[in-house]
Amino acid sequence: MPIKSVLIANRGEIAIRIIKTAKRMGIKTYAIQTIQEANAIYLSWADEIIADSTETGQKSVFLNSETLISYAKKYKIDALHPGYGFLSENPELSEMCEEAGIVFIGPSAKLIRQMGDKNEARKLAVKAGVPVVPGTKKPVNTIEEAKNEIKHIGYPVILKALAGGGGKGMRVVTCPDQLETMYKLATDEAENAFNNRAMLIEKYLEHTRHIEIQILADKSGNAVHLFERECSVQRNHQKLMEEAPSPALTDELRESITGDALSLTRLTKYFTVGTVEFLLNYDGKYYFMEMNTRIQVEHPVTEAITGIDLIEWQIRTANGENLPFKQSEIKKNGWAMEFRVNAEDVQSSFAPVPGIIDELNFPMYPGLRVDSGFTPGSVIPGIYDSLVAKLIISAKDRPEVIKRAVNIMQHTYIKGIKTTIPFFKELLCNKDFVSGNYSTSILTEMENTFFQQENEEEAAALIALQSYLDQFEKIENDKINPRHATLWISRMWSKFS
Amino acid sequence: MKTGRLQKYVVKGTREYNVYTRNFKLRRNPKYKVIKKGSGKYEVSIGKDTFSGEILHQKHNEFTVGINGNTYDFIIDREESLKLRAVMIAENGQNAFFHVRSPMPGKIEEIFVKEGSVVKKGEPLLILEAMKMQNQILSPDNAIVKAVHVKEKDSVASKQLLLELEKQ
Repeated sequence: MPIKSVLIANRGEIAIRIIKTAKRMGIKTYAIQTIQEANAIYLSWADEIIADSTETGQKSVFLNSETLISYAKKYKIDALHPGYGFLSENPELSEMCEEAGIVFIGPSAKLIRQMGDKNEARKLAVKAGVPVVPGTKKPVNTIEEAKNEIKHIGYPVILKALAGGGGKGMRVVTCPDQLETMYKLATDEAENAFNNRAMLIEKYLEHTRHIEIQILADKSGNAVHLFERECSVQRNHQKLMEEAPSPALTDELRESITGDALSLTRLTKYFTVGTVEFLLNYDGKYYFMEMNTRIQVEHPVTEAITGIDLIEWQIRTANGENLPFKQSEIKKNGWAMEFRVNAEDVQSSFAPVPGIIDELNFPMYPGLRVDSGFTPGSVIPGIYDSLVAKLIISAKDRPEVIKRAVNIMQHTYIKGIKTTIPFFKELLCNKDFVSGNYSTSILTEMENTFFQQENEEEAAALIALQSYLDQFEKIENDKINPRHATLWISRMWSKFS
Repeated sequence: MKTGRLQKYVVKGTREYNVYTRNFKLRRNPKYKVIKKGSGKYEVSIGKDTFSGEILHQKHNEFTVGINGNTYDFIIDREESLKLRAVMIAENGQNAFFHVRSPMPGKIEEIFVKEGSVVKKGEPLLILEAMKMQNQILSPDNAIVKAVHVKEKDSVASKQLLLELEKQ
């Protein structure tokens, strides 16, 4: 039975993304209006808006499965799309949908549980014959257990929240002295973000590349891959930029990694979209890290090189439709990069800076796709993530993409908030990045993390001074009465005249 | 104000820029030129390079200027005022003080020090929880804690004063 309506249990750019495809498919879209973002742009895209008043300061409505299900039932909505983050990888929501007769746009609760638990996922990978990083075989709940496990694994290690994602609840520990502090930080963070303190501990491999394979499968067991994405540009394990395909993969390596990704998919009878993440070591060996059972932030780069609408096929396969295409029919064409424009101050170690966007201007450019949930006048709420816009740039090959990206960054004008754009400007002229020979340590290896023209600060100093002088001049020329100037200026003026 | 007199200003950012002015204009200097473009917007050329920037914020003689997506903070003083202040500091024998401010809005999770605590450079002073991440705030230098202005569970704003330290 075709889906006629869908409830978008998410906000911002991904809500808009889902709505765009749903509309094209003739599905009626319902979005939820929250008190925090009553005027959000994504609302104007939806066919119907559900005004939520249940949200308290403590918990977002997008994290409340009971409320979401009750809305879907109340308005007799056929399906629910969880987007990414929030409850997208929460097995309870998938289960509750199934019980209520609502199509959950994602895999079954069982699959989410299996893959959502990093430990379980590792076991399944081993069973599928996929190489994994040396690590713990069961959840670690105390620091004593952690110490014991690390004896077998050996430093350096990485602590990972078992139920985690988005880089939260992860800490690298290079020596025994750091363990206690890092364990506390990681578990506290995990408790706050995911309500679960359990940890997984793995050997930490440095200078690796993060390669992930996009897979798509239906309930009948047909599974295909849509090539890889490289997401090695990260800060604190959070992705800043992604590209497809990866400059690190030879055809042989690609054959092998995608093959392993599909083995895992088939073994678990996975369906809808999913991403299998690997770490590629400098020696050419790769290891399974985890599998994500949701649509990912960076899915547009895969769409750019394959021409396949991932949201559409996620919806169709969730509803039981079979894939009409075979692997041989899926081709990759050209190159794409995505840059996450976050409201972060790169001059202050990427500290998030919620604020109000005064201006947000991206140039019109061939090959540029902008996915954003904000317009000028928008307030960046402090409680959600700091993503302002995604810039997806495609071209016929990697050097051309870089060239376009440089131009686009040059002509982008954002006022009112600080963003990661100065960082991208620096990244795009970093020789390791440009040569395609970079790893997850690139950010720490970069001498400067933001682009600064020579003499830029001096230019800024001159601007400040000129502005200061202009104010004195206005008073002197009687253009402003000293009583109307700022207290400081008028005091200075009378002191010196 | 006498016209035609040469005036020296010190613009302090991450370093100090000494600039001469005359008649409210930066002294005619072959190296640089500043043109006003609109309200708060300016174009500057230094040598062969041109920059477009704007005043983002001003309070008294403290400015924040934005260029190329980066921001720079400055304090502007005339040379005389600065010299006077330096003399006063030397006379009072003040030590370097550190104001530890919050880098972002968040909540104080845990404080490790109290008034009188002696800390080493890089030592954690407190944990700030922001956007679901735990951030350690480290001591900028070897110092002694003079004052603690927050307590655990307090919500803090960006740049809010958390602790005062005196350099050891």
